[in-house]
Amino acid sequence: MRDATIFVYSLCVVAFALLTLGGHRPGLRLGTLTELLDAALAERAPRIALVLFWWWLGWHFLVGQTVDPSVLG
Amino acid sequence: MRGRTGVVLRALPWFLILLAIAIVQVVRGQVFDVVLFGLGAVAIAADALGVLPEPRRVPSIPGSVLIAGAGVLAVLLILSPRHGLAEGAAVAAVGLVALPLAWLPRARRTTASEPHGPDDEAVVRRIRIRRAAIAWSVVVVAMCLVELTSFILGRMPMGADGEYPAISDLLDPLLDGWPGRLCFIVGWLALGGLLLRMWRRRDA
Repeated sequence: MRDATIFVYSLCVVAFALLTLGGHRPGLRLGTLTELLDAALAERAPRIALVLFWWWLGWHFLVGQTVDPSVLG
Repeated sequence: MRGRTGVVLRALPWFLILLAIAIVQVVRGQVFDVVLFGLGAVAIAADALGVLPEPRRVPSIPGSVLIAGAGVLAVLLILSPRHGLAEGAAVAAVGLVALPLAWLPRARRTTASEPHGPDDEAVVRRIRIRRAAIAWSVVVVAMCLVELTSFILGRMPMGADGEYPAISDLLDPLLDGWPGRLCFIVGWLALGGLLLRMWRRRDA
């Protein structure tokens, strides 16, 4: 199951890449990531949520406890 | 939808997202993370309800200053031992600057990326952005569900041997070496700079 889980994560990463590229294909009529962020960040609630989560990523991986000890293992 | 009700309804999903993250952190037993996301959710709710006073506009910071600051921080973060005091102080300093900046209101939008053309053009742009929002949301939610499932199964006997890794489990070993840390730190600071610049670049 480990490989299957990693495969699904990889699919998500590929989907992110495709959406990023797709925003620059006029035929798809899909907004770019920049346009999307531009619209979202105009309001305070998404701005706070996104910046807070972004900052926490740095804290989580560089400073805090990144990996939890196994509860039952 | 306009007015206070519209503000509350638009803030509600973000409030729920932070609340859900805080609940997951409760399960992880990470008190700091619970307080962080809990306070974020409370702040969003209070702001949407109009309880908090409106702050002044965001001060103008030249892009060159942001880039220079990010460069110094990147060197400091890369040279400091991971999970060490210096690393903690540097990341905390980033938060102490970024989070208040995120709270300040955005200046009035005045540039070309704001639709000034015919109404049809503005409508088409809104539709494109809405489609992008839906598509990105679907993938983000799917990824979060996989992460949450892995998190839950990883805490059961069947997942004790790493059969259901969370994203943190996969990235953690990569960040122990300097190439992985370099990539992460540069990417993290660049994303933060992008988020900060996105709503500042139209300042009058």
